[in-house]
Amino acid sequence: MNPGQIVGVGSLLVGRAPERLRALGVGSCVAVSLWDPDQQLGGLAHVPLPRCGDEGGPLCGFVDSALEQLQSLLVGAGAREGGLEAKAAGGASLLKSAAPRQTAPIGPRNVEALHEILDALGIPLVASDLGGESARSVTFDTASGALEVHCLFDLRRTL
Amino acid sequence: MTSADDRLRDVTTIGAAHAAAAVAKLLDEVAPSEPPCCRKVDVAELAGSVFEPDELVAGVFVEVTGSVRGRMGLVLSRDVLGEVLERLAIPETGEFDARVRSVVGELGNIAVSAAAGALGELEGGVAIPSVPWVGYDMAGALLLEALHPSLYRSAAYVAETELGEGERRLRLRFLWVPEG
Repeated sequence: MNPGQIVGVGSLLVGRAPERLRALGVGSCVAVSLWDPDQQLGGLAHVPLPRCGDEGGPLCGFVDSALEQLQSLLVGAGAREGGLEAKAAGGASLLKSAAPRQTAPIGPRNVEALHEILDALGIPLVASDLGGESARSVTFDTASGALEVHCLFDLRRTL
Repeated sequence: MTSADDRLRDVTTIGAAHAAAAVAKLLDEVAPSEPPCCRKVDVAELAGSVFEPDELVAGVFVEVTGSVRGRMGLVLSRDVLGEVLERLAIPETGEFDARVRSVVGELGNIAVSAAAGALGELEGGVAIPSVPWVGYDMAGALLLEALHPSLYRSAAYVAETELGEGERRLRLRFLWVPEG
């Protein structure tokens, strides 16, 4: 089986069944799949930062603009705007220090943004594996909508 | 390539050489005879160019303030970490437990302090590293969490060097991300 196309940090890809899309080394980033079950059409975004500000960077680098762009691309490709469902993994906090944190860790901030943006876009989050202290790699199957989540040494779960 | 790039490569190379010498002394190992090899990489592309995104690594990262500002890190592959533990007579359990985390944090602290000291001197001042952040997981994930404030703002300068001789050489990867 084709292992799937890699979706790099700050990028997204759209595919139709039987394509598989993968995001590797997802820690504080969130990997978000949007899927239209009727069309077996979906996309995966691998997003490192919560919100698009004035600092530059690609639209796919921020949860808000990346999800808007992914929804728009899928609708443009034939998906029903009200028929999309989301699954997500990531938002972890991997690094530890003896010093107290000066700011909120980036992983939970990405998760918070994810929930807010999906609510705003009217897309239900039907399954998720978010937070924790371990990195994940994910594989999105555009045929079934499944999001396989792997940790370092084994299959963690299928969403 | 600009003269600013050249300067940052030189600074990174010097910082990495000091870090490597400090680690060599700690491990009673032969210091590198060749200067570190340095390259410039976008922070977003570190995982995928210098490292495999899902490669298991240990990383120590600090924020540097003072006469130079930025983020600095030392990254060890799983194999190198195993060698380091062996040389320090730390029993390897396969777990990144509190004891191993402490060893990695101290090793990294010694390395980045040496590097930051050298960078500060180059700029005629003092560079102060923060308390280190330590992790052991997929390289792409660790690097992004440690360097996310620099993402889309600054480039990373990566210097690689090897300690020791023969088959048991230890490859160290040193990162310097100057504040953009």
